[in-house]
Amino acid sequence: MSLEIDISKTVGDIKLSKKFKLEEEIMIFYGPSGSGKTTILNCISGLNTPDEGEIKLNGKTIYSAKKRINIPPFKRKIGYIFQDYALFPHLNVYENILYSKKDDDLDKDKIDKIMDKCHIRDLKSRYPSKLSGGEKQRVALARALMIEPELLLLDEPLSSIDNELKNKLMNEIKLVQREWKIPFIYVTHSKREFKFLGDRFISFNSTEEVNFNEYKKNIS
Amino acid sequence: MKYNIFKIIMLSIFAIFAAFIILVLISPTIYIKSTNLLNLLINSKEVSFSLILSITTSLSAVILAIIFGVPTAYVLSRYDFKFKRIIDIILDIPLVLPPIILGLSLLILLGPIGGNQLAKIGLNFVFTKLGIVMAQFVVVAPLLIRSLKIAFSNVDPKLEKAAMTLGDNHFQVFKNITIPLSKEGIITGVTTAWARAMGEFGATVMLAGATRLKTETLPIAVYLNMTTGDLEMAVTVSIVMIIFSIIIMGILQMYNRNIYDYGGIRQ
Repeated sequence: MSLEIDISKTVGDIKLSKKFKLEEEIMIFYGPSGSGKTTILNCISGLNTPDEGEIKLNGKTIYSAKKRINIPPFKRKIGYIFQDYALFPHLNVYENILYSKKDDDLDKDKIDKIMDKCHIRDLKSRYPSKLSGGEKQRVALARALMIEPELLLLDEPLSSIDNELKNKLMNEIKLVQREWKIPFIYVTHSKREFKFLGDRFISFNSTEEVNFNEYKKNIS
Repeated sequence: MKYNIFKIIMLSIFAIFAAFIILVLISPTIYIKSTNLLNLLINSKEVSFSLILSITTSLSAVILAIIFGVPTAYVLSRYDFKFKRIIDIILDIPLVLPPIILGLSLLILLGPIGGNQLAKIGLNFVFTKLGIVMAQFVVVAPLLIRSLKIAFSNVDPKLEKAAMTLGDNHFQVFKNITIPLSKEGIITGVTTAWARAMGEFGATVMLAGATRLKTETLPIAVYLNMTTGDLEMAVTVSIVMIIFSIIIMGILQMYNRNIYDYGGIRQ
């Protein structure tokens, strides 16, 4: 599984340019709020369209300005965990998790396995409004994994979680990534998450720079 | 503190106002003898004709308003384009314009201006039942659009985006996320639009006229009977309309209670 990106997108006065290749590892987008991390994430998922460049997922072009290719988000098989999880409030946990499964497409063993992995089997019939922050995060993770993603995007998934639980959840996220062996892109401005989870990182240091510094660093 | 003066003043004004409205609503029933009322309700051809006409035309107008209103409200709440603000304001103007003016404009548009062309394809709006539907539609569509616009705007776009990353195309997102999450606003909008269409008078009388047993909706029946001095008939029709309004409010109240059922959340 691999992701290749070479895109640019102008938002207001800022031109964001990103070029990198990602294998089965966790890439951290690290930087302050408003520096364009979520914009790049949205471009990768297909929710936003870059101005120019190309995105390839497992060798398949999912976006190319030159070739006029722009696969819509619902066909990209890219899991996305939003900052406040975006769980559907009118559906219970089970229905949220099965959202991507249409009718006869149910593999009960797989559902149970993912629910166990995310420790949410007991929450099946609860509605999102009755879940704690940590539980919501786990449900969002399970829901994203149900589409069997080839890439998982996580936009500050632990920003509203207290410190004690954060360690546990970071561990779980790392374990899931190692088990699923797909690239993860993890947006954060927390040093702790960055150091614990990151195999590599891209710094979104300043909103004023035309081209952002790009670093590669192994944290081990 | 023995007495809360503030509370007493507030409660007194509230009680006076509530009592006044109740009195307004029940006064027609005080005026007419119950035996006469029942007799007219059951036997009057005019009452049954205007009730059936009002229900069929208002339902048709509301269906039309939904067909045009849902996409319009969605566009206004989700997309950005040039002159959006101005168009938005223009679409709200019918809400503050007297219906009689709307009726007059419709009469000119569908009569002298476009009447002949429309007649060629079988559409006659002036002094016809179709005219009633058109008048009600133009009056209630902006009302419905306003409710729907608020309802759609209250749905977090992030939820729609999440659904898209989970495999839904735009139509599926609309059906599975946007509509269910704005259901409360949609139901409120549709029922109030329906009630408003049932009571529409000004635009209807201009475009469709007030012809007994032809374009005689409930409000027009009240008007026709008042002008001919048949107060009992006018009161009977009014009571039918009051009962209808109570039913509509009942539906709304029942529904508003039910929406808390899924886990007590509101987005």
